[in-house]
This record gives sequence, structure tokens and C-alpha cells, in this order.
Amino acid sequence: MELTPGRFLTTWLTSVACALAAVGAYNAFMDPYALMGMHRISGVNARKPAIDTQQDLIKAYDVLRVAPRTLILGSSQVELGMDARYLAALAHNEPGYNLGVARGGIYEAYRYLQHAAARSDVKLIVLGIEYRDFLEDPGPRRTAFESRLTVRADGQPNTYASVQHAKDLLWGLFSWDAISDSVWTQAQNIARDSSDFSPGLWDYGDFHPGGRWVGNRPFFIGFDHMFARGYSHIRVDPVYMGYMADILTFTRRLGARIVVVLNPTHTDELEMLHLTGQWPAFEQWKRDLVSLVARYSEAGEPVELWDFCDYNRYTSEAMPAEGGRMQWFLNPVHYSPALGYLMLNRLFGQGDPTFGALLTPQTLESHLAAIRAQHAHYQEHNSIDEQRVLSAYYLARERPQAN
Amino acid sequence: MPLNSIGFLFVFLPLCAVLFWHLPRPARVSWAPGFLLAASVCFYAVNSLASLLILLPSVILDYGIARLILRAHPARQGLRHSLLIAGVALNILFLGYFKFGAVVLATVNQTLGTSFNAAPAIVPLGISFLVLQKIAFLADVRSGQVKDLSFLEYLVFAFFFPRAIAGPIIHYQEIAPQIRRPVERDPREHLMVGICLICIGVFKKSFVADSLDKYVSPVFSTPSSSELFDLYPTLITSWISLLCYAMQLYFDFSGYSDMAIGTARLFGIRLPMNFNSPFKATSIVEYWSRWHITLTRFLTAYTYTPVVLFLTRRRMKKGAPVLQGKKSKASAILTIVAVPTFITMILSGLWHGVGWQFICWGLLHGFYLTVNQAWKMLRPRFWPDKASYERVMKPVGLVVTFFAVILALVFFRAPSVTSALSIYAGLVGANGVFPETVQLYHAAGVDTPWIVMNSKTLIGAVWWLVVLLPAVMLLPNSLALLSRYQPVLEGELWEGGLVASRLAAIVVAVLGVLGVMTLNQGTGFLYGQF
Repeated sequence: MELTPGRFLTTWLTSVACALAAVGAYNAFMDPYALMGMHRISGVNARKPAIDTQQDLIKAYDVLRVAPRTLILGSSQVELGMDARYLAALAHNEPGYNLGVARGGIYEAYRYLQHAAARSDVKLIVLGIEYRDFLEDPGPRRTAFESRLTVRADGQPNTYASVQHAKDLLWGLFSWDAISDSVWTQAQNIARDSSDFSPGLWDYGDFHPGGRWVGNRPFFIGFDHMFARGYSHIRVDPVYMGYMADILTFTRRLGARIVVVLNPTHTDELEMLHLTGQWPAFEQWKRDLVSLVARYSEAGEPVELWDFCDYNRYTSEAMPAEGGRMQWFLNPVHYSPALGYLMLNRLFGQGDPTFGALLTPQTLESHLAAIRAQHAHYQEHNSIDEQRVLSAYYLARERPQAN
Repeated sequence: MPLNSIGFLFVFLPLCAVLFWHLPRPARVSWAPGFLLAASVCFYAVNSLASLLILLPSVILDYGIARLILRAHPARQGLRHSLLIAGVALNILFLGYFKFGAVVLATVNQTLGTSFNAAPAIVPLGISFLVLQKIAFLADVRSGQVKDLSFLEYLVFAFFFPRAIAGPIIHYQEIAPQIRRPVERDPREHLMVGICLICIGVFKKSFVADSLDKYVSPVFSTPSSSELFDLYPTLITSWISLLCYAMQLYFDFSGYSDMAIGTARLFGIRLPMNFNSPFKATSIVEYWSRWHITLTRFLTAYTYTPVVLFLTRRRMKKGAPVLQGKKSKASAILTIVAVPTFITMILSGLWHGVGWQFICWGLLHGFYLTVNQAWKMLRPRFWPDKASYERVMKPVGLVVTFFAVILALVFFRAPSVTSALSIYAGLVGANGVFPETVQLYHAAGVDTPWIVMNSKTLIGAVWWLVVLLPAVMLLPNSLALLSRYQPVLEGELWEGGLVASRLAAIVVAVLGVLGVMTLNQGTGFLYGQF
């Protein structure tokens, strides 16, 4: 039946209103980004698989709700591997929050620290860093996350944050991404097999698409290939040591304790640092860090610097056969929570004493010499793994670089 | 504040439409052009005030030239012609400076070791489209198609905001009568058609075209990296990416055109059709009569036809053979078909952008069109039975045309000729069949099912193509669906058209809501960059 234009417009307007109301109500109830503070009902909306893609959005607001006294900062390495609740319990300084974000670097850690500290009484910070965080970044700078932070980089209040919050709420209620993530949230809560987040840990249920079927091996090969390409033409950028200093200065001002951790990386990456000629720069990076930390320790509260990034029984975990899963690593750069617990224990005087070393100007050179010796020993006794890394290195060098 | 922004769709446009239709009724006739000009100035001011300030003098200058042409005595054809040439030249220089200035200066500085710094700081909003529109205007004044001129209506014609970003390219005589005629008392049909087109347009642009970008950019960008698409294109990644780009470009630009036409219709103004299901074309000539129609008609009227006429007259003067249907000689086809076609398409390529890749795209289309035109002329000689020819060749032509168009799109999208050649290498499998990561695993001795490694991206891209390719080849387009309500000025549309039913209202509402829900993932319109 043909409607008059007036009737058509009324029907259209009613339909638009109904559709928006339905979408908004469903998204508000499923709350895939935990923006609305909806109650998390087991089997319905408790798991939040959207953490895989929306970490900046989720964590920027979630950390303010938790108001942590213990904070973990860094990239996806600490986000996947370190349990902040466990750390907070060890340190008797609860609540804890893991504010590591995927692809986050030193600058992001500094900004998130400013953000969290503006609303919380932060007393303990564990900052996980890697050599990669200090290299030149050829890609565009991440800036979008900053609009949500409570303070600007200069420490002044971010007046735009409330506007951004309103935009995020609207987006969380009415966007296509939100409805897709709501449906995904519901499906994954029924299946009870997905990524999830808690203040302590990012439980990455689907760390690599298909990872559960194919095991770790393909991802080691992929990362090895990426290292071989990436490390060939890249240098340390001093700007990141500047951000590191900013973090230490800020922490001193807070009166908080900070522990800097050099995250463990699988020997595949360490071997690739040798092959690509990065090793001297890698050692110099550690020297610069020790020197920086020593300067701050002399001037006030001691800053601890722990190095887990060497050759040891965990980082040289053997590659399983195709389809097999590893105990300590997901891929060469991401360690498992099991290794994360060992690290946290070590920081608090428990656990394996051969794992990790406290770096000081006095111990540094002997520590570096020991790692060189470990490297030689590793090459002697791990010819199969060494061969695999070499193959990836030569394969990457043979292949074209770009369009 | 582009057409696909929250600010435009929910603040600027409703405000303008409500004000327009609620102006005091006795005064509305005289108010309409002034109101539309004020709204357009606001649109430019919000988007880019600098663009308005740069464009305004050239628009006024063209008005002055047009006035001089109109005032010149009809007997003084030389003067009228000289004024036209001067106007066209000024417009081309104006466009050339903003579009090519930076590249030319960089080349000069590089070649001569100089350091001239006179490149334009910005490229004014929609300058490419406006310049063509102004050239057409001057030509229409010169040819007598525009006989009387109102400054206010002319300014609305130049700055009318629905078409400001990327056309459609309109003629003065198409829009002026609509601006000056009394505004109807009941706007509801205009609003209905306008809202339908805007909803469909925003759905096409935001929901479809913007969603496809993640399958396109990684392969065409340098350097590239993603789950599926690695550093260099392989057979599977190249084809998926290219097909997705064809769909992205069509849905982006036709979505924009729907929104532009719909926006104009909210003010009771009909714009010309810009798209008419181009992927249903069974020949490349037909394709160009369906794709970016207002550009095609400009190029045909103001470039191709004048060159054809000039060359035909010259050959006739020399006594050389001209086109004679199926008896046409090769020399005549080369001169009267190939030369104008190549000139036109190279100009079209240059208009789209600076770079050899656009010239290659123009050359490729020039070649396609020449072959198609020549075959149309000579076909009766080789295949006299038209009915059997069409029965066999229509489906073949559909497929051939589609692939010819998308293969040329490689040059259109690639950032350079080198990059385009790399994509072509991928299309023929020179970089292997499977995505690079899969090849890497195979080379490293890992026999991993590649579909597992790339499932999310791959399934997403294939899903879109499975839905969109049949849709663009089989379904009626938005303007055809609304043909009962005369959505555009003219054009051959589906005779049936849908009636304004309750179901239609609900479907349009859902499309609009889906489009609005995906506004956040989009950037500007692809043709906005031209």
C-alpha cells in the first residue's frame, strides 16, 4: 500500500527511533567495553572479549574506577604476562591494576601513569620494558588515546576529556562496532572460551587466530622473520630514554616505589639481535638504563632495575613439534602468565634465584659478560633452534622488501 | 564537516532544512536563493573558510567574463570566442596552480637546484569539480544556452553546498530555474525523497565502502603489513584487494552522489544523475555512460566532441576519408576516434591527479574506448546478425568490461607506477599464490593450513565480495528504486520504481541507522581528494 509522503516520513522517523532505542538498550546491557558499569553476569556479559581490540578505550576508564595503589605499566608483554592482583597481594598494596596496553611504548606508559595517578594513590609501579620500545618508530605516532586521559602531557587537566567521554559513551551505545562487539560478547559468554580482562591480567584467549590449532611454532617463525627484517635497518632513538627519565621523575614526585623490569624475550630474538648486528647497541641500551636509574637512585628513593632478558632455562625453552604448545612463551616476545608469576616472585625475594638479575653500575659489566658467555654456550648446545633462527634470517634477507 | 559527519547530518542539515521550509511564506520566493547562498557560505566557512576566500575571486571573475560575452554583439563572434578562451585558460591555470603547483615547483627546484617556495598552502575544497563547472558555464554562455544571468543565482550555482565536495558537475541552466521558481507549499515529497537518498548514501559510504578499506589499503600502501596482506601482493591478496577496491570506490562515490542529490532535494532542488549501475555495463562505452556521468558528459561535450569535429573538418578539407560506419578506413578511425579519445582520457587522468599512474589509467581507458568504438563501427562487417551478436556478446561484454575496468583501477589506486606494476605482478601470480606469511611458513617447513592463519581477514573480504558483486550487477540502484518520485533531473531509470510503502520506510530507516552507526570508521570521500 502506497503511503503519503507524510505517513512515510512518520513511519521512517518512528523506525529510526525504535532502531536506535533497541541498539542502545542492547549495547548498554551487554556493555562490551565496560563503559556503562553494568553488572557482569556470568554466561551473559561477564567476559569482555573486546579487550583484544579496544584496550585504550576500556582501560582509560576502568583504571579510574579501580583506583589502584599498585600499577603495572608497559606493552602487551606485561599485559599478557603479569598479574597485577597477584603483585598487589605480594606487596600488600591492593588494589592492583595492569595498565599495560598492546603496542604501548615508554611514552604511552608515562601518559597512562599520569592519568592513573591523577585519581589514585599509586604507591607501587612495575614498569616492564623491552629493547624494542627504545627503537626508532617508523610508523605514525599514537595520539588518539591521549584525548581520554585526565591530564595533558604537561600535567595540566585535560578539559577535552569530558567531551571525549561523552563521545565514547555515545559510541559505546550506538556504533556498529559496539553492536558487533555486544553480539560477540554474548556469543563468547555462551561459549565461555574467549579473551577477557580483569584489573590484573589480559587473558588472551585467542592470542593468534588459529593458534590453538597450530601451536606456537608458526608464530615463532613469523616473529623471527619480522625481527630479521625489522632489526636490519633500525637504531635506538634517544627520545625514549627521555620519556623513561620523565617516568622516574614523576614517580619520585608521587613518592611511589618503582621497579623497572627488562622483560624476558625468547632466545630467538636474542639470537636475531646478534645476527642483525644489534647486540652492541642492545648492551649499550642496558648501560644507559643502568646509568639513568643510578642517577635517580642517588638522588632519592632507590629505583630497582631487573634484567630477565638473557639466556636462561626459561628463555631458551625448546621449540615443540608442529602443533605443540610451550610452557613459558606464546611467541618469542610474549611470555606466559606462568613466567610472569616467577618474575613477580623473584622481585619479592622468592622463586628461582637463577632467573633475573638486579642491575647496578657495579654488577652490570660482569652481567653483560655472563650473557655473552651464555650466548656462546647456547650456540654450542642448541644447534637445532639456532639453525631455525638462521634460516629465518636468510629467508628474510632473500625476499623483496616492499611494493 | 563533510557530508558523512555527525555535525552535518544531525545539526547543519536539519537546521538548514527546517529554516528553509519555515521561512515566511509570502517572502519565500525571494528568500530561497539568498538562503541557499547563506547556507552554502556557512558550509564553506565551517569546512574551510580559506577555500571560500580563494575560490570567490575566480568565481566573480568568471561571472564578469560571462557578462562580457553576453553583452558582446552577436556579430562579434571573434570577441566572444576570445573571451571564452581567456576564461577557460584562466580556469585551467587556476586549477593547475593548486593541483600541480607543488609538484611542478618541486621538480623545478630539484632540476635547477633552486629553492622557489610558491606552492599553494592548501587545495581549495572541491576545486576540480568547481573549475569544470565554471568552464562549462562559460562555454554554455558562449553557445547561447545561458541567455540571462543573475549574480545571486550564479553564486548559488557555484557554491551550492550539497555538491561542493565532489560534484555532481552541474550546468547553470539546470539549477538556476529551480532556484528562482516559487517554492512549493508542501515539502513532504521532497523531504521523503531526500531522506531516502541520504539514508541509502550514508549506508553505502559508511557501512559498505569504509568497511572495505582494511582489505584495500594494506596492499596498495607502501610499505604494507597486516595479517592477510604482507609486504608484497600475491595472487590471492591482489585479486581480493582489487575487487574490494572496485566495490569501495563505487559505493563511496555513488554513496556520496546519493547524499549530494538527496541533500539538494531536501531544498526542492534536483541534481543530475551521477551513477547508473556502472557494473551492469556490457561495453566500456556504456560503462562511461553510467560511471561519473556528469564528468563524462562534460568531457564529451567540451573536449571529445570539439576535437572530433575539428579533426573531421580538417580531414574533409584535405579530402581524406572520414568515418563511414562499417566501411571506415583505419586511418580515419585512428585520427577521428583514437586521437580524441586518448586526448580526452589523458585529460581525465590528469584531472584526477598528479602522477604517471593517472596518465597510464587514462591511456588504458583511451585504448579500451578506441577498441570499443572501432568495433562498434566495424562489427557489422564481421558479425552482421545483430540479434545473435547481442545474445552472445552481452554476457561476455559484461564480464570483459568489468575486468577491463578493474584492471585499470590498479593504476587509479596505486601511489605510483612502480607500485601498480607490483600489483599487476601479484595479479598474475608472479609473487606466488598464497599470502606471504603462508609462503613463509611453507618455506620454513611449517605445514599450517593457511586458511587458519588468515581466517578472519580473508573470510571478511570474501564475504563482502560474495554479497556486493551480485548486488552491483543484478539489483536496481538507489535512483532507479526512487524513479517514481523523479529523484534526478533526467536519465534513463527503472520504469517501475518502488512505492512509498511502510516496509520501504522501515528498510530506509534501518539503512540510515546502520550508516550512522558506522560513521566513526570513515574518513573523507575518496573523490574528495580529486
